[in-house]
Amino acid sequence: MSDSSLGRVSFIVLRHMRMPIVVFVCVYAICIIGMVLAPGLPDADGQTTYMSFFHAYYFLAYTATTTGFGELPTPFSNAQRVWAVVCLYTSVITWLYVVGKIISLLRNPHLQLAFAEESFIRSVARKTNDYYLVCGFGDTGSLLLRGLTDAGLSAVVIELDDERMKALDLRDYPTRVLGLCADASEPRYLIAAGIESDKCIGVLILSNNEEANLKVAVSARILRPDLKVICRSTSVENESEILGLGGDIHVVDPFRVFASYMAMLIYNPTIQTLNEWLSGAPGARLDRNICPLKGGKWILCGHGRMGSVVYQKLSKKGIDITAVDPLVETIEGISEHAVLGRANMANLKKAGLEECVGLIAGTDNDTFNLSMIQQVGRFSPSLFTIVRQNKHSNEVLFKRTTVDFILQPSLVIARMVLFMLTAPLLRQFFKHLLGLYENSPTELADLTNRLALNIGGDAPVLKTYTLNPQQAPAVCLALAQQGSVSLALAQQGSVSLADIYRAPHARDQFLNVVPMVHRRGEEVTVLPPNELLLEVGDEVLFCIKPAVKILLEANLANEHTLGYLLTGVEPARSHFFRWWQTRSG
Amino acid sequence: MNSEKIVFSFFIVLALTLNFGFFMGDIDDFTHHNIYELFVAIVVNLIAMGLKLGDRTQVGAVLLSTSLVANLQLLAAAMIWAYVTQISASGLSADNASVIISLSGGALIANVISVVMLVSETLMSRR
Repeated sequence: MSDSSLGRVSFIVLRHMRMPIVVFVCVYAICIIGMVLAPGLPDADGQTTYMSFFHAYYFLAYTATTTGFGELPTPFSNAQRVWAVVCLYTSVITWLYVVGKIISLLRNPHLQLAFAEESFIRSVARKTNDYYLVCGFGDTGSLLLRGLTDAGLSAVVIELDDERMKALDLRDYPTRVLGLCADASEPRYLIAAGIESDKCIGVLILSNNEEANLKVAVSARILRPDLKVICRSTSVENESEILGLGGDIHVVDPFRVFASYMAMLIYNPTIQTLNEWLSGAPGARLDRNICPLKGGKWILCGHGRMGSVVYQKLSKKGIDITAVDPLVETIEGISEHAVLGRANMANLKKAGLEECVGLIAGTDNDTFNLSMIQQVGRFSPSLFTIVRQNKHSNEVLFKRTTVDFILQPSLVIARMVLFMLTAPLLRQFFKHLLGLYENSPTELADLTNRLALNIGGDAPVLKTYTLNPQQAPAVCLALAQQGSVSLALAQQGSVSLADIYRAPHARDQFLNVVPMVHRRGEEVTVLPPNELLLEVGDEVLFCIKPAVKILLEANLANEHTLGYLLTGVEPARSHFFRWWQTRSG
Repeated sequence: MNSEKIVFSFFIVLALTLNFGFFMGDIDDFTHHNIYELFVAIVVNLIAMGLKLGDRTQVGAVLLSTSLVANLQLLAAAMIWAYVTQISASGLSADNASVIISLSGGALIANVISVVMLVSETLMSRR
């Protein structure tokens, strides 16, 4: 791949430089021949002298470039001077022509593209850490990239839109994100982005183009049958097609994800508050619910693709909801719970604005949503309002309104994909929470209290630690030494979950972390008990107060710290003291 | 209280103090510097290095390398002293003395780093 691209670059250069080079060589040849043939001044014997080829070339070298050292090596005869004038004009013009050609060649967009692709391929091949291949750098893509790089993961981007690529160059991500402006549905660009490399650990397909997404998913699956693929798709047909590819593949339907998110917000505010807090949404706090209402009548403005899913979800949960939509066909099936027409005050009142508790401004037009919220806010300020923000660029306007909750589809999807990548165990956790919510709400309240008490604040860190020699060398060492009796580490015999998050300054206290999910093979435990005995290869998802992350990682990595946490005595540090201990003990 | 910690810190701090004691004084006047102090400094530095062997953590590795540097510098100083007093005819001139003292000054820096790391690690664990 790299060779053919390099070949293309040299081909473009050669094709454009063919004429200038020929002209250049001819002009030089004629000038040199002329200088050699022109009779010079007579020497001491009265013999006419001639310039040698070397001196003729030397003269031309400094004349053609307008340097002009003068008449070297000896003064010229008039015949030579006449020819020198001819040489000067022709060769200088030729030089200008050649330089102009080179400059215009460098400004050739095709050549620049070829150069960009070439350097992109080389940088990707040089990458030493694992990376995700992100196809599509729209609102979702850029939010996701922010999250990925903040979590210390690396990514490579392919995006068709030139303007978006320029935006990528201007982002201040903590790690450098490589980007190529190309059509990801062409397989050769996927290969250029290193999809075949072992370092590529997943493809995230996030563009708005349904067909392109499908094609990228198919190509990715064929090129790498084992690769993780996450694909955005809004069409049901494409979704089944993509899922049919098999392997580690996930489809994210932005409408469905967003609708269930919004529905959860209304019928299950506790869990949604927790979700917002875990994803580090600004201003999200555990001690108060986002949406304090339960039950009551709601109005949904916009019953399009997303609105209809919201409507279904909410009415399934027994929430009384009325839809307002200007299109007859969209509200055909639910005409008894719907008002036809644009969402202006008259129609909203017809839908029962006076007696309702909440309003969802959920059309796909930010202008409508904003004006609706403004009108309703004047009419009844106590109403709970949820607004859908479609374009990230309208953020300033939405922040200024007095709306209770802003939902951004691109943000919701970016968060969901991010959790799929950084904390896949979180899904189990939320499943468990949903069960708790229905069966024992007090336990859910206990958990929320525990998180608020132990971690609190905003923006907690969620991180999965795998007990392997890379992430937890000390734990692996302690577990490996279970057999040998002589070492202090082994006296305990085993490492329990509690041991790895004790406080390093006093082992009867604990760090501000909550172990959320533990996984061993297929066996998943949500909220694992402290007595759980760990084994090598276990995965633990921790919710961590940002300040103590470094301490938790030291517990996992430093054998002295872990030794103290296990036994209460710091183990001997060096050969001498270990020898001394075995002698005295 | 941990007897291992006491012995370990004792030798590391003593290595620094002896090194400093030898280094103190005019750099080119060997009457300010005692050769027996250099001898003891080398011995204590070597013992401190021995105590640091076998620690697998990163801090342990850096501690060991500072000791290696200090020993290298002090032994070089001792070798120059042996050469100028025993083999060379020039004797212990001001030039030679300043070389020996400046080498021990380098070792002093390595020992300071060692002690700083020891103290900061102790403070970090907050026990």
